[in-house]
Amino acid sequence: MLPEWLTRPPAGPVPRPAGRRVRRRSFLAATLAAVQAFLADALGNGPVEGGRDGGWLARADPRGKVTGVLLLLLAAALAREARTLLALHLLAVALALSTGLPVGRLLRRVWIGIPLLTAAIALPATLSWVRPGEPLLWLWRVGEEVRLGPLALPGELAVTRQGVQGALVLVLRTGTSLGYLFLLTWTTRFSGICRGLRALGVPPLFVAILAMTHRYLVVLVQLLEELFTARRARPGAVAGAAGARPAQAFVAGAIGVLLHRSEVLTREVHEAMVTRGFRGEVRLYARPNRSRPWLLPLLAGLVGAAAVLSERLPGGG
Amino acid sequence: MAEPTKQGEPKQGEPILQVEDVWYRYLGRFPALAGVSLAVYPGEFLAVLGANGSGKSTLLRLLAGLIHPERGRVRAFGVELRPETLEDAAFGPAFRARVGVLFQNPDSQLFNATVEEEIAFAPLQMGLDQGEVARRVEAMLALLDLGHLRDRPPFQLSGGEKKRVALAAVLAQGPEVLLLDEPMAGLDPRSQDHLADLLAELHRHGRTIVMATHDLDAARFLAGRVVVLGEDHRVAADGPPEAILRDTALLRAANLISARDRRGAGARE
Repeated sequence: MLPEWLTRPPAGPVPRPAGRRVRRRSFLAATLAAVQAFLADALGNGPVEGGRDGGWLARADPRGKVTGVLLLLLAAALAREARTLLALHLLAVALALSTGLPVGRLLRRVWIGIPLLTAAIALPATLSWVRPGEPLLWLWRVGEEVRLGPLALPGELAVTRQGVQGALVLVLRTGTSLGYLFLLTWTTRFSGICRGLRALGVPPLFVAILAMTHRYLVVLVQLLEELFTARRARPGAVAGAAGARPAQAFVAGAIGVLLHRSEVLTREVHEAMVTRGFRGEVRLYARPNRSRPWLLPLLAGLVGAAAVLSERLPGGG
Repeated sequence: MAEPTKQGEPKQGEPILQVEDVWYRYLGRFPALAGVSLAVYPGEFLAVLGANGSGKSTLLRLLAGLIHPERGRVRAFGVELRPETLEDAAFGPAFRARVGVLFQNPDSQLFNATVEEEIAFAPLQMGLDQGEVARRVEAMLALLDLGHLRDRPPFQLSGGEKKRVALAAVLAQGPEVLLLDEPMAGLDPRSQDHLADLLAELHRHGRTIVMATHDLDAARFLAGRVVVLGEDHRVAADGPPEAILRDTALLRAANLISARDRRGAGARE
């Protein structure tokens, strides 16, 4: 027997749009959408024009790409000069252009977000209190030490050349490293990255755990997406209509569902592994080698590394 | 579904799998099996029918040695399945190599980075050399028409493709016994036909198959024997499919057909 309210006739015509907009997408929804988009790019799932399905870099052997990118990351980590890092970054952009990747999208991904956060963290390091040096801009100059109770403040505060250079190198290093990582994940399936790591002698157990973590992270992100899609399909889910509290409650519930689902998945995956003979030791498949070009990306890595090392030679940078 | 040729059911000798008065509850509270006994003989194709929650999947997990009964015994190849016997260096790996399990949810079964690595997993754990593993991988890719997907991550495939990859991964170990949990679920009609033909061929070649399903057509076309699990988690019937699938009263009581279902009209009520 249906309840009475379910048998009532429709409440009247559906209101026409009144021209007033409900508040834009909530901060929470926008953040989750951004996280999903970032994960799709970083985990190697998002479609990338000229990426995984075309371009010479996509066709290159993953072993060469992984080795080349690792060399370039090492170079970025060792570089001490901003101009060297800039050159390395330009090399990444040139590689992206040559293989047909969308450079604008690459630059947006690289420079919006993490490097800006790095800049915020590095900001105090530009000040003379943290990094003494040649002043570029005076922020505070009273000459004598200022005492505020037990606290003694120096009489001068300036942005220093050495501090700015240090912060710039840090931000450029972050951006350059991210650029190469996106270059790799946009042109290589995750399985290829795993194959490259194995070719470099990374232990099979580590590679297997990495591959499974990636695989189930993707599954859980998909689940999260489905949860939010299902919520959008329900009444009262118009963005911002009900305030922040229900949204927070929903996110807390979604986290609980994800936790439970990941626990169930862990058990099921272990059972599936056991039924197929897993007894604690991981053995991985070494596909019969197929000849593919790998020299060029490796060469790029070597060139980048050499450029940085030249900084350290007598007469260099 | 095209009707594959069914072979007479050999029911002789020692059972290859045996369940004796087995009881199992989840979390110690929710009953899944309540005093179930049955035997599976070498070369049989057994369909385990039951409504949702009747205990079909639990029965398969017990037969696979993934869980153990609170009461009663489960035997495989004449050996009782207990944690100690499955840990045994001789019996454990041999049991795993001989018994292949296809799970209901392919997402939990496909944990490798690519389709070909998925198929290679079991043969590698069995200690086969890389050359033999590669041969098995190629054979399974060809058999299940997966060659064009070999480099794809399994989680990016469609439901039907995932099911095919999961089956290829199980068959690659060359199992003597197949435990299949709802193998037809989520497949389109053509894929169902293909799978039915494949299972019938495996059966013709002497494989023992236990298929948990609530798909009566699959049971009718494929199985030589049907066991019905009732909603009380006990065996409600055990016999040839022709007799059991005509018994509409039994099927209704087991919640396998609806009260409006006219199938078997004129048959035994």
